[in-house]
Amino acid sequence: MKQYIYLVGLLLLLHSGYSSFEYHKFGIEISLDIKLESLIGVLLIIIGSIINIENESFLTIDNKVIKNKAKYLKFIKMSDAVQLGESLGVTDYEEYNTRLPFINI
Amino acid sequence: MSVSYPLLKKKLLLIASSGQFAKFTSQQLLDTYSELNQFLLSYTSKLDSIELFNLYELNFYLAILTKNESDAKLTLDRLTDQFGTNSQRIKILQSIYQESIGNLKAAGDYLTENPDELQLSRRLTTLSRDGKYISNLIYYINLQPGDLIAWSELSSEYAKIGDYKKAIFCLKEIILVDKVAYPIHYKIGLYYYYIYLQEKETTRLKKEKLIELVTELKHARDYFLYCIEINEGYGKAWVGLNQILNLDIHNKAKEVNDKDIKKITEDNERIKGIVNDKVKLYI
Repeated sequence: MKQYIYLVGLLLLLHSGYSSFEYHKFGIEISLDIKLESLIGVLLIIIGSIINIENESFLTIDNKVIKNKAKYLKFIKMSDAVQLGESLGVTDYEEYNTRLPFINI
Repeated sequence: MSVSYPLLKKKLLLIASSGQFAKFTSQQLLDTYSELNQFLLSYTSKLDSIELFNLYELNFYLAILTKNESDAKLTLDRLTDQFGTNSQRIKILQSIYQESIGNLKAAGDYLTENPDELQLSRRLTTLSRDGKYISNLIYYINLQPGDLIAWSELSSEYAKIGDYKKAIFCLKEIILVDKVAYPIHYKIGLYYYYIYLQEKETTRLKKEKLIELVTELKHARDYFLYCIEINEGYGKAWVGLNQILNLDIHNKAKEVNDKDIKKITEDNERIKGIVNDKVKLYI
């Protein structure tokens, strides 16, 4: 679905570009519908790129899929931002717990 | 159940970078080791070189921890072929391999080649896990006081022998640098509670001892609260807080005529209601 928004936006932009080229060839002023078409094309491409940066899900050790509650970026409030790590069982402070350099073989 | 390639890759790289496998159970180690082998067989060509060698390093550790020394050697050879033997990271892997096959002398030799390489000195401390381990860690921390993982290790060693005051000191060194490390705040609170458990007496308490114990519990309460302030959803801290607020010692403390103790018990009463409601979510 997200990729189609890109595609439609791109097609509209290409079509409006070609139409304006044809209008220029005959020295006619570009009509309002072509201007609108190019504007909508650009808007669709911008919306498509914003939707496509959506955060992905993660897997826990037991291969359970954990959805990221923050849709696009990380939460600003720390209490909310750390919840993803808590659900995964790997917090940002895991190295103090695992202490890999001191692992007992 | 088949798992998609990007999710599995992300999971394995997260395990590699966090060092989480160091605390895995035997079953988790075996499962992750076989999952990683399958993944490397199927997708090696799709990975970029940094991801690939990070996963090889993970494979080395998992092979060592699951007693597959031959696979560990094979992976180590791949890594040394690529990066040579001058890097500290590689030398540590070589030393770990020698340690795993029981060749402690060779393991030590890799770590003592150059005293300026502090990562090697850090690993060297682990070669004597007998009575000298704590003094070795202190010696290393004197060389590298900014190594927070070493402070955490020292704290854990003190906690093992029940010296919680020193363990707390080490953890406080970590939060001096990493102020929002909420699991460390929780741990400090927990160790203060352990100090209370060590020092409480079943017989009638004298006033001075009572004040001392209530003060220890106040420290525990405060560190649990710091932890909750940073991460409100940290269930263990709520449970710890509930545990210390419901101790019988606070009723005895109400009878003591001391300004500081009165303030502590008043504050405890004020937060008790909130804690009782919150803790139901986690018990």
